[in-house]
Amino acid sequence: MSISGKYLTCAINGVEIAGNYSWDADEGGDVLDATVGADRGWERENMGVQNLHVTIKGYMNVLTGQYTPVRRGTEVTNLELYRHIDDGTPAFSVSEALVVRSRQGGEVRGKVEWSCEVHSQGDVVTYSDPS
Amino acid sequence: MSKAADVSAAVAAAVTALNLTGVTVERRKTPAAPEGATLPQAVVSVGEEGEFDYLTARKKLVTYPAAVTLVTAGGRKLEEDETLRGWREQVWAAVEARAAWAGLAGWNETTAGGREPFDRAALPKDLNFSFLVFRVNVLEDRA
Repeated sequence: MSISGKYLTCAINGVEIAGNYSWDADEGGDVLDATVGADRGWERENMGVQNLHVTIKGYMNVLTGQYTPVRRGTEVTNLELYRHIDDGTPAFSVSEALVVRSRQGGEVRGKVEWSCEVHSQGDVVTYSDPS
Repeated sequence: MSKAADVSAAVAAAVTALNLTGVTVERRKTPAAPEGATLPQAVVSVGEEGEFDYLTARKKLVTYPAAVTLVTAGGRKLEEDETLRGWREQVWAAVEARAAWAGLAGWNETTAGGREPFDRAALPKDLNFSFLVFRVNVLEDRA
């Protein structure tokens, strides 16, 4: 059994995102209230519009400037999120996405880091279970 | 060359560039000077790598314990030695400067403190040792 994220990575257009160390994919969307009288006082819901919101974090190399620009407004194609660097199939493959939020910063007694929030655009998400 | 040897070479070059009057710069595992050695010496010692910090799927941060020891003759000195203190300030400035590491690929940072890469208790009592101990962090590729 292995639960380690030691080899986790992600890529855009087949090129690894420089310095990435964390990704988090949130499958969400609208939840519609469908409660009717027949439910006898208990809640019932239906799925509405779906989305995939991904947060990616990485370290910035301040000496070489090696950093994949993922600032707010960047249109991303072929975003792939891998649980393990050697996996042939990514956990999530998103053919079209938009960076809606980005952050950069660091501390004197820490590391210089960046993070971004990327939203899928349209019916573009392919999911795969771990193998 | 190993990364540890590259670290040692970079420290030695930085200390040599200071041209401290009368000081010979040597690279050894321990600052214990052999019989008949020319003193004073600045001995650069780099120990075996310490903890690995796995940063990403491709890179890890390796920490090397290092020290520059200023060895002067005459046993444990109790009186103030302004010359020695001046050398220490210059050596600190040299090893902490970014420029000292420009030639070391993957260098991340140098921080003062940590463990000496040798056994202080095993050093001879008839020489005077002044230790500058620091850690050198290097970004290396993961296998």
